[in-house]
This record gives sequence, C-alpha cells and structure tokens, in this order.
Amino acid sequence: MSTIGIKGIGCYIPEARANNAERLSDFEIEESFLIDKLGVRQRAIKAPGEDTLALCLNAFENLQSHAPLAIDQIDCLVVVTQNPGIRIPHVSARLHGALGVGETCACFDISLGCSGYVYSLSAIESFMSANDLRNGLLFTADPYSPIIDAADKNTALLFGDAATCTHLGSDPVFETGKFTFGTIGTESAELTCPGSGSLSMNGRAVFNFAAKTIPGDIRNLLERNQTDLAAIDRFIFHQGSKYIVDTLTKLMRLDPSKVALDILDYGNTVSSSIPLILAQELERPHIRRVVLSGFGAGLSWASALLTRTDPHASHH
Amino acid sequence: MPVTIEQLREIIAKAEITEKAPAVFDPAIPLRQQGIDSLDMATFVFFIETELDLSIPHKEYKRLTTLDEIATALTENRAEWASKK
Repeated sequence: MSTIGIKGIGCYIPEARANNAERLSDFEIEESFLIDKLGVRQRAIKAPGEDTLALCLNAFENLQSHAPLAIDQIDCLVVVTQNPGIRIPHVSARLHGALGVGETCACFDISLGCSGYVYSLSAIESFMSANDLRNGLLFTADPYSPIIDAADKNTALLFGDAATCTHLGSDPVFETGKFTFGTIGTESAELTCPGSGSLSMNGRAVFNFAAKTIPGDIRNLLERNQTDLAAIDRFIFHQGSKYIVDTLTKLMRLDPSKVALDILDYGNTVSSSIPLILAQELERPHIRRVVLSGFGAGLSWASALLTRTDPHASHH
Repeated sequence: MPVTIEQLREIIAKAEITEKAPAVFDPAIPLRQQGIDSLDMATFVFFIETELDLSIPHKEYKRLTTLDEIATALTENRAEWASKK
C-alpha cells in the first residue's frame, strides 16, 4: 500500500465576530497592543446552538465543496477536541451517524489541545497504515468561546472558534516524515479548565514553555529527518498569539517571510490553527517542505515535517 | 556576585524587546511606564532566566516592576532560584 498523507483540508470559521477593540478600556491596553502584539483584532464566535458536531459537519461540507469524497469510501473518522459538548458518546460516533458512514468505519476522539493536530496526524496515519485503511478524516473542533471568562485578561482577547477536516489517503499532496512529541506534565496546571469552570492560563508559564522548548524541538525534528532550516519553505507554528510566533521566529533566526501568521480576524483556534493555514499552503505548489509545530495544554507539543509529493510520480 | 543594572541593560538589548537604547531606561521607574508591556516583560525575564541560568518563581515575578527591583531580587535570590531549575 502506498504512503498515507494529506490529500485535502476543509475549513470552517463561524461568521460572527467579537470585536477586541471594544475591550481596550476594560483591560487598559492600546490598539497597537492588540494588533502588533496579540495579533487578534476580532475573534470568531460560533452561534449559541452550534455545537462541536455542527462545527465538524460544516468543515466536512467545505471539504466536499472543493475535494469531494464519497461517504461510503470513508473508513476512519478521528475528532480532536477537549470541548465535545456531550461527554458520552464520543463526537466521532455522533459524526459517523450524522454523515451516514458505513458500520466498519473506525471512529475515535483524541483529547489534546493546541498540539492536537500534529499529534493526531501521526496517530491517524499510523493507524490507517497498520490496518490498510484508505480514506481517513481528521477533524479538529475545539470551541473555546463557552469556557472563556470575559473578564480574564489572560484569555478573553485570544481565542476564536473554528473547525477543520483533513482528508488522509494515498496519492497525497503532502507526505509526513518522522515526528517529534513531548509533554511536561509537572506544568499541567498552567493551562487548565475544571469541569464546570472557565479556562485558566498562566500566560508567562505557557510563553516560557514554548520559547524554551520549541526551538530545540524543531532542531531535533530537522535532524531526525536529515534536513536543515534552509531547506524549509514554510513554518506553521500554532497561532497562540502573534507575539509567540514572532518570538519563535526571532529565537530561531528564521526568515519572517517563511513564517505563517493568520489570526488577526478570527483568533487562536486551538487545534484548528495549524490546519487552517496548511489548507492555504496546499494550493501553493512552490511550497514543498513545511514544518508544523503545535504546543499548548499538557503542557505538550508535537512537530512534523511535511514534504510535497511529486504530482507526476504518483501515476507511475 | 551582585547582578548589575548594566547587566540587565545588556539583556534588554539581547532580548530585542524595544527599539530604545537600553541606557535610556530609568532603573527606578516601572518598566511598564517606560513602554515595556506585559508581553515584552515576559520576554525580558525569559532572557534573564536563560542568561543567568535560573528560574524566577511566578509570585516574585509579579512583584518585579523596575530594573532596581529586578537587580536586587536577583542578587539576593540568585543561588536559591538557580537551584530550583
């Protein structure tokens, strides 16, 4: 069986926006701080009745609109979320029912936050390869708007709602190399959400974690894949804030033009932030080697190297 | 060994958090009042921790507002904070 990789990505960002400029006086900040530092002008907010399942269905609909996939061909469904809405059953089972997928389709959820897309990319690819599955769908949908305390300056201006649906199968656009992963469980309390409470984040601790961990992790990733920074066309870091993306760019001395930044008009969308940007890179043939790095709750991280496949090679 | 204001100014330059010359920062005035916002402050302290190989506890971090306060706290607690890393 040929290599499993990324064939297409569907995206969904709810239309409604919360305008951060309206909160400047609440938090005693200036607009330049919003735009130049946080990098979030407005946040995407799901409709009140729109649950995690509905977000996933919208992302799937978007995938179907530009890269159709027959429902009866789907043999694996994975949903990455820590905000499933309903705890039992898992979102992927409800999604399976809503889409009308065949009974032999494997379905499971993965509980991870901002590192979730990259971690799960490896999990679903390995699972599909081990079991000869042909068409997998990896969903990310982690709506934070219901768990944000609007008065908490550490979190109120950052997060937006979104969902993505990545189609994995043979003859992909991007193949993955070896991944790197990690967790610092002793610092798990720095980013938490108790059962019925709001999200709590120690911004300095999360910043320190990313700044200390990710540059070295990327170096390890490139070594594991026998390549180097100069060979990379695009770096897609988790879009925690503009500031953390800029900081990683500076710490690693990267060419800023190679580093993706796209959160200004919808915010930090947790596990969806990387695939939302990767969906755009799929359409840019000159982008051949991409580094992904997700980091957040856990505190955990995962990084991956993607390589564009030769479009002609797949026919031989 | 005491941590000096001059050392801290060198770290400000290394951290690239401001376009101002490090020498213009008044050690007695809170950095926030001199244009260093909360995110820049986190970066500055991250660079201090990296350069001096220590870890400043979060409670102490919240109390540090001026270069004078930072230099004094580091001088007094350097050994203890280094051992916590």
